[in-house]
Amino acid sequence: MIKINDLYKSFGDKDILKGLNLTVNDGECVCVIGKSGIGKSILLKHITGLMIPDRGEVWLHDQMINALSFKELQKIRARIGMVFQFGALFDFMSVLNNLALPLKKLTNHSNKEIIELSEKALKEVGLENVGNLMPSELSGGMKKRVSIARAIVGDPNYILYDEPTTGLDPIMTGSINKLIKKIHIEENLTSIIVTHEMRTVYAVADRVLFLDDGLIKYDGAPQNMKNSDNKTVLQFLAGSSSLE
Amino acid sequence: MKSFFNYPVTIFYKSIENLGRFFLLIFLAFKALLYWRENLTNILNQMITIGIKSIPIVIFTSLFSGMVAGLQAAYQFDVDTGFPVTKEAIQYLGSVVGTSVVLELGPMITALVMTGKVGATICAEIGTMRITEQIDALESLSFNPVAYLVMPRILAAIIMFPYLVIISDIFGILGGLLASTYAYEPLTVTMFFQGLEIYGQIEIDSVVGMVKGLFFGFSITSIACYKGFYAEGGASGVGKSTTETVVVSCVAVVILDYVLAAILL
Repeated sequence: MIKINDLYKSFGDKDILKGLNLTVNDGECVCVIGKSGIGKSILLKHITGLMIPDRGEVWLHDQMINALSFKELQKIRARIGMVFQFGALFDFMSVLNNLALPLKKLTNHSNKEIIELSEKALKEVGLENVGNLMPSELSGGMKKRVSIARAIVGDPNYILYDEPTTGLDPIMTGSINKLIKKIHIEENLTSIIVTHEMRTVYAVADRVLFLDDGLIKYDGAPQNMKNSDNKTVLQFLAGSSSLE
Repeated sequence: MKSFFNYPVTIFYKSIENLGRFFLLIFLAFKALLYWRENLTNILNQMITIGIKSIPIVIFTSLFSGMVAGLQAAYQFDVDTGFPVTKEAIQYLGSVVGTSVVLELGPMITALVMTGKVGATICAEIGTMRITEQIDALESLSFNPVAYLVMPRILAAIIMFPYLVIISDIFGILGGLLASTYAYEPLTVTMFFQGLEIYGQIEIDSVVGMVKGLFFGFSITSIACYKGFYAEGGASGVGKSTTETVVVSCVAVVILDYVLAAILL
């Protein structure tokens, strides 16, 4: 379970998160939506311990992330897979080595087993025979898939996606959505997806959170969003600008 | 008007903050030496990149700077001053060229070339990793990014720079020998080396040069790692950091050169 209590974060004089509270139960698939720059990715980075809150608590698996030592944090990070917005593949190593890297660090598998597990993860995301390619040789969609494969190769309990469909064409977006859903079910994961895409929300989410002004303004089923009495939520759904 | 007066204060606070972050990063890099075994492959790769792959450019630049030193020394001996030019005086030319190469030109030319070649590369590499979230990805995969990226580069430079200085010394002296014997006829190869032995303390001076190299290596790579590690602002931000790396490293090398000369000589 992921539990966030009273989370505050600001940069300079700009307050991003203003006492955010959130609970994500095991096995849930939650989408976090909201305007650009509202703090969605920052929320994810707090869950992985990449950012330290100004105030508040982030709990994961009964451990308070922001109170852990670096070593303890390293252990708990092995339970989390993270897919970054633009893949964040290590461009100085091959696709296979990108996947093998966390396994070499976190497990005692032999080299042969590591290669087998990496190839299995690539197969799961629908990519085969790309292990020897460098990230620069992959298309945007392939990079996202490899990034998902790297996130699941260590067999995590939680997976966090930061805008997994940004910059992809509608067909590839649909295919990544299916992949996210498939991995969520087959790997029995707890998934949090930060996205702008309502297609992704409707395709994968059990629950959707609308983040605005540093707080969660909607928390419920995707289908019920249109019944919300929050104007910003409705505006986001309609895709209309307040400048109109 | 208020912002005009606030500007120097802001710059002062920012400089203090940057200095604090720099020393913290260096402290963490030294602390990460405890994990050198885990990062041995990385360290060896960096030793090859920073050291072995830089040998050709170090040889090339040292040879020519040694030749310039040789030419200038020969030119000064060639001027008719009215004083009799004895054999001992001609031998002294070897000492002048050798000492200036080993003490100054070798370490300095190596450092300046490496600032452009190694410093800029390290900053651009780490900076690109920062802005494309590869450093965050490393951290999320339970890696310590300082131990994985910063420590191996600094350690490799500390190990390899003194050897590069030795190579630079050898080829600098060779260049000086070629140019001075060519430009000043009375000087023979034997006299050049006799001058090196009689008037110079070539062994001690080369150790001083190596010590300088060690400090130059540390300063160039630590500045580059710091600038890259905290790069921000997209591609232009990385470009800005890379330029700053080269400028700050050059300034640091020149200052360090004076400080070390004052301490060691």
